[in-house]
Amino acid sequence: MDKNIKILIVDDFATMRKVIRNILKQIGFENIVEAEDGVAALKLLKSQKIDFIIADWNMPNMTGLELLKAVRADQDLASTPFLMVTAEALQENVVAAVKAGVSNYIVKPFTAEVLNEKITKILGG
Amino acid sequence: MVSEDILPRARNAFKQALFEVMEKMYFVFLEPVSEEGLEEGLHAVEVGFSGPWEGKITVYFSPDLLFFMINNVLGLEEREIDDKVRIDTAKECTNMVAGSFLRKFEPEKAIHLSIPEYLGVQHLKKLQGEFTLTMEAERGRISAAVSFYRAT
Repeated sequence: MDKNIKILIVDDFATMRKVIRNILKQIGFENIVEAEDGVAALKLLKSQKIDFIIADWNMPNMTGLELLKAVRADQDLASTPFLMVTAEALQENVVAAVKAGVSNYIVKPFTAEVLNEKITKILGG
Repeated sequence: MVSEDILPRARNAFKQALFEVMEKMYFVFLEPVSEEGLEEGLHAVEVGFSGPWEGKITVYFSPDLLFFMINNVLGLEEREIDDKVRIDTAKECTNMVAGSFLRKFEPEKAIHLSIPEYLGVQHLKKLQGEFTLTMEAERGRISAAVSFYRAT
């Protein structure tokens, strides 16, 4: 698994972004950028190459699902792996995310091991 | 109003959710306290839920518990922590507790959460809700009040 990939964390809570960033660093990923919502994330995705997206579901302005749909609809971004983070593991949300092309999802609260497992699974490492 | 027989199950689910979130995400271990002795200046966050059950969850964090949580996950010292970090931490924690609670309480039903709202620093004499609970950590306390508006 390539640990030099650039990972984008999208979450409206700065503390959660830092928590995920710290876990990613523990796992060995150093190349990390952040966005506070889907709108800011899309801007970032258009301006630089991002290899992996970790996005929260429940955000103001643009939800994680809306961001996922926008990413999958853009031919330059469509193949970017997308890990959805959610506090609600609702069946209908999971189905909607899978339909929209999510790579995997993780339910909060999660441990570093679980996040590592999900990323490894997506990247096929 | 909800039927009385639901409340013990809901209370137990909430307690388990609180333990899970605080231990997994913030490395804080809680103990139930028999007396709900509320401290002054609690940071309060409210989140609504809707679907087959509707209501709201309000979580109250004592300042020293909030610092303990932030210090544990971000390694920040008191002087490095501003209001934004405090509010963010309290909101995110409440969001996770609410999500975990609803998953445990009604795993088969789709209940949606609102975006958590910070209510500011509050000085309470008593918690109001269908059920309430207070837990103590190594440093500080956390209290919660859960209200149901409607059950369909």
